[in-house]
Amino acid sequence: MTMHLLLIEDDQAYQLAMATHLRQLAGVNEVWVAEDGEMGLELLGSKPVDLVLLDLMLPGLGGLATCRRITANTALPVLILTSHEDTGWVRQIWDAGARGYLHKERALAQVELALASLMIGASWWDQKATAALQRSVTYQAVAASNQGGHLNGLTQREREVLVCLAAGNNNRLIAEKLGIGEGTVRSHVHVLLQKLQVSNRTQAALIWLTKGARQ
Amino acid sequence: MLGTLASLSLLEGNAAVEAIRSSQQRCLRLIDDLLQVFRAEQEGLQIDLQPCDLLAIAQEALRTVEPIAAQRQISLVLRQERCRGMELLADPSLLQRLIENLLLNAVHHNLRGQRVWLQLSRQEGEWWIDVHDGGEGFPPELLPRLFQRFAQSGNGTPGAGLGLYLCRLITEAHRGIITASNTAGGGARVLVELPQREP
Repeated sequence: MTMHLLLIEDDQAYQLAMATHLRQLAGVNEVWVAEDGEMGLELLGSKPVDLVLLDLMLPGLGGLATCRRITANTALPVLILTSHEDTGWVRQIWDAGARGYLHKERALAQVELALASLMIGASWWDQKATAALQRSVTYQAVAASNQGGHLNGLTQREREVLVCLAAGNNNRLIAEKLGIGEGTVRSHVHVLLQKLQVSNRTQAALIWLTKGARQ
Repeated sequence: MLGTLASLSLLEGNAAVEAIRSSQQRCLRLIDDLLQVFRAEQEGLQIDLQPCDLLAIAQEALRTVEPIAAQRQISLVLRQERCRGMELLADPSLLQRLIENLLLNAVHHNLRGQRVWLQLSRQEGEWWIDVHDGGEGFPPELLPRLFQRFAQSGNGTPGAGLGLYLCRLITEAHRGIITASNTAGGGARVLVELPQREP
């Protein structure tokens, strides 16, 4: 197997480390590098690339838009690199046409296997990503039949925080009730507002009071 | 990753050092924003008002951001109404940080090769710092919460959602107003209006 890779990554130290690692792999012939999607797309026009490794967070065009452009115009497999633990991105990566993703922290150890997998036409979704994709499929089905379905996307802890929030508790009180730190409460509230796609606590509480409490 | 970096041959030494330096600076900036925000929220932003020159501060901010912009062939253009007498009472290091963050935000969200303008002017007893570009503009749904903590574009462009929030804190600590809009041509624009408070 001979591979010509394009690595699009804006963090220079990570780019250098990953490119150096890739060049040492058997089967890798060439690694071109780009710092943003614009430069990556330009290189794709002039180099015989077999596979693209693409950072999710890029300046300019951004990772997702770059991925969409590549997969819309070519059949090239795209492997996303991300430092997000949040699996909320998995669905968007999937929709953008990527064939899998690697977490940056684990990427050096897994990339050889992932590349081989993509080169034979398979994909690379780990256990967490697969679970997230399954959830998003279930979620869409539930959401279609039940408008309050997006409550299902909340974790148990986020639901507990939401219940307290709907009862009118402030963060300090919620922290006391659930025996967790106030900072943790704040971050739960932040995440659950995003998941419920609302901009404040009152709207979140309303969703719970009108839909969640009946579930 | 450090192991891989350490194994790089000496031939690549300069590139490796430069890459590490650049990544470190990015991390340090993020940590610094985070600490500033954390302190500001704990005890309010402490500002040290002193007579300073807006133009000199803006030029210093440009010098900091220019190498980062150059990596993506983005040019920063300074426009000012006058060359002298842009004095005001402000915290010079926070004001520089404010301008740097506005420029960095524009650099990160513009396509390679575009331009970003920094315009300084005096308007009815206020100093205006206006950063705008000819790019895609802010996503309309993001505009209402752009200056909130952790506001992110959600489309795979970088930013922890701290830089512009810190800009707001700094502006408000100077009793100014910060607003964002999309220009008629479609680009993004952030305007900071600072009361004159002449020294």
